[in-house]
Amino acid sequence: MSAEPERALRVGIAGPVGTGKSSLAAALCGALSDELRLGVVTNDIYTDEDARFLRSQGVLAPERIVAVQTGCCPHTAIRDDVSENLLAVETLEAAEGPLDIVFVESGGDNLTATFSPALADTQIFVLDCAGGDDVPRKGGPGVERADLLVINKIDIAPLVGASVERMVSDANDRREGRPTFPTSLRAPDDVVRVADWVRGELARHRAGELVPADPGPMAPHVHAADDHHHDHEHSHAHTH
Amino acid sequence: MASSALELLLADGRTPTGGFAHSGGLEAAGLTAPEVPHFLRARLRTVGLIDASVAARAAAGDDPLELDDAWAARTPVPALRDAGRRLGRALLRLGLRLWPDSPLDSYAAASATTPRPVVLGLAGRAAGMEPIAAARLSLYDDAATVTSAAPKLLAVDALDTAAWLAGVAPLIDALAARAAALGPTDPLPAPSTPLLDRRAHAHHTEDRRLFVS
Ligand SMILES: Nc1nc2c(ncn2[C@@H]2O[C@H](COP(=O)(O)OP(=O)(O)OP(=O)(O)O)[C@@H](O)[C@H]2O)c(=O)[nH]1
Ligand SMILES: [Mg+2]
Repeated sequence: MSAEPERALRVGIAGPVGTGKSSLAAALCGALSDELRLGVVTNDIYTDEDARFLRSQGVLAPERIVAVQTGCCPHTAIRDDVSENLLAVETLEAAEGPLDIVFVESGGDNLTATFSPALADTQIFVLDCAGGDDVPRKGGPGVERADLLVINKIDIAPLVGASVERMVSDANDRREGRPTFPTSLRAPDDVVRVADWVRGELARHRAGELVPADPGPMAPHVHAADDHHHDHEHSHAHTH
Repeated sequence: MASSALELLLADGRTPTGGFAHSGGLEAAGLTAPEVPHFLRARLRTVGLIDASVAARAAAGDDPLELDDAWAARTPVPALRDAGRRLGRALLRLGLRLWPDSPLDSYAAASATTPRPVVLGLAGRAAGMEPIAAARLSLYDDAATVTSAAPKLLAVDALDTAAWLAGVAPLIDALAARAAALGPTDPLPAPSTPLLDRRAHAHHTEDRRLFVS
C-alpha cells in the first residue's frame, strides 16, 4: 500500500482562446466541491480576469482562486518555466490546504501549448466547435496526447456549421485510445462525465499510479499527401 | 574555481527562474521609449545597487537571514517585497537542484522570505563565484528584465532594447565594483526611490496588468 500523496492532484486545463477552459473549471468546481477540497490557479493575459470570472461564479471560496501573471508568455508559464505557477500552487496549498485537487487553467494559446509534467499531473485540452471542425484533424500535442480531449460547445455546432461527428472521429484517429468527450457545458450530464473522469484521475493519483504523461511540445511530423505519422528518422531536413 | 559558464547560466533569461513575468518596474512606470534608458540608469543606481550589495554580501558569506531583513528594510513597497520573494523562491528551486549540498539548503529551511538578491548571492557562492560576479549578475538581471519587457510594452524594436542594455554595461561594472567593495561591517547602501515606489504600489492594484512587477 502506498501512502496518500502529500500534495493535491494538479489538473492542467489548456486549449485555444475562448474554447471554454474557465467555464469548464467553474463547472468542475461546481460538480466536485461538495466532496473534494479544490483550488484553482488561472493564467491570465491581463491580471486576474479569469480568476475574477471564476470568483463571480460562486463555486469556490474566493481565496481558493488565485491568478498568475505571465508577461505575455502563456506558453512559457506552463511549459518552459513553470516557476510562477508552481509557486502559486504551493502557496495556495500552504494557505488553504490540504487540498485534493488544484486546477491550473492556462492562458488561451495555440495548438502547441501543453503543460510540463513538472506542473500538471494530468491535463485536459479543450477545443470548441466554433473554432473550426478541422482542428482535431490538424493535430498537435494537446489534441493527440492530452490525457483528456474535450470538444466543447457542441450545442452551437449546427449554428456554426461544424460536424461534431467528424471532430470526434478525427480525434479518435489521432489519439490512440485516449478519451475524447464532446460536451456542452450547459448540459449537466456532459459536466458529470468530465467530473467522473477527474475522480478517476484523483483515484490513480492517490494510489500512486498516476505518472504524468507529457504530451510533448511538438506534433510528430505529418505529410499532408499520405497523412501518415512518421516516427522513423528522416533522411531529409525539415524546417518547421 | 569559479566557472564563468555557470555565471552565464544564472544570467540567461532562458534558465527557468520566473523572470519572464516581470518588467522591473517598467510597466508601472508608464514611460515613453526614449525615457527608458534614463529609467534603466536610475534603477541601477538605486534599487539595482541595493540588490547588488545584498547579493555581494551573501556571496561573501554574511549571515543570509540578517541580509533578508536588511533587504526588506530597503524595499518599502509590499508588492515589490512580495515579487522579490517569489523570484527568490523560483531561483532557490534552481539552486537546490544545481547545488543540493550547499548552504542554500539550510537557508531554504530557515528563511521565511527568500528575497532574490540573497538567494542569488548564495547561489553564486555555491558556484564558487566572487562577490563582484554575484553583484554583476544582480545588476545585469535588473536591467535585462526591463529591456526584455520593453518590446512587449512599447512600440520599440528589440534591437534597440538590446542596445540600451549594452549602453549600461559600464555602469553595471562600476556599480558591481562598488557593491563588492563593501566589507562585512559597512552599512549597506539605502537610496530611496519614492516615485518608483508609488508607481509600483499603484501598479499592483491595476486590473489590466501584463507583468507581476
Ligand atoms: N454555447 C456554449 N458556450 C460556451 C460553452 N462553454 C463555454 N461557453 C462560452 O464561451 C465563452 C468563452 O468561455 P471561457 O470559459 O471564458 O473560455 P476560456 O477558454 O476560458 O477563454 P480564455 O481564458 O479567454 O482563453 C463564454 O462566453 C462562455 O459562456 C458551451 O458549452 N456552449
Ligand atoms: Mg479562461
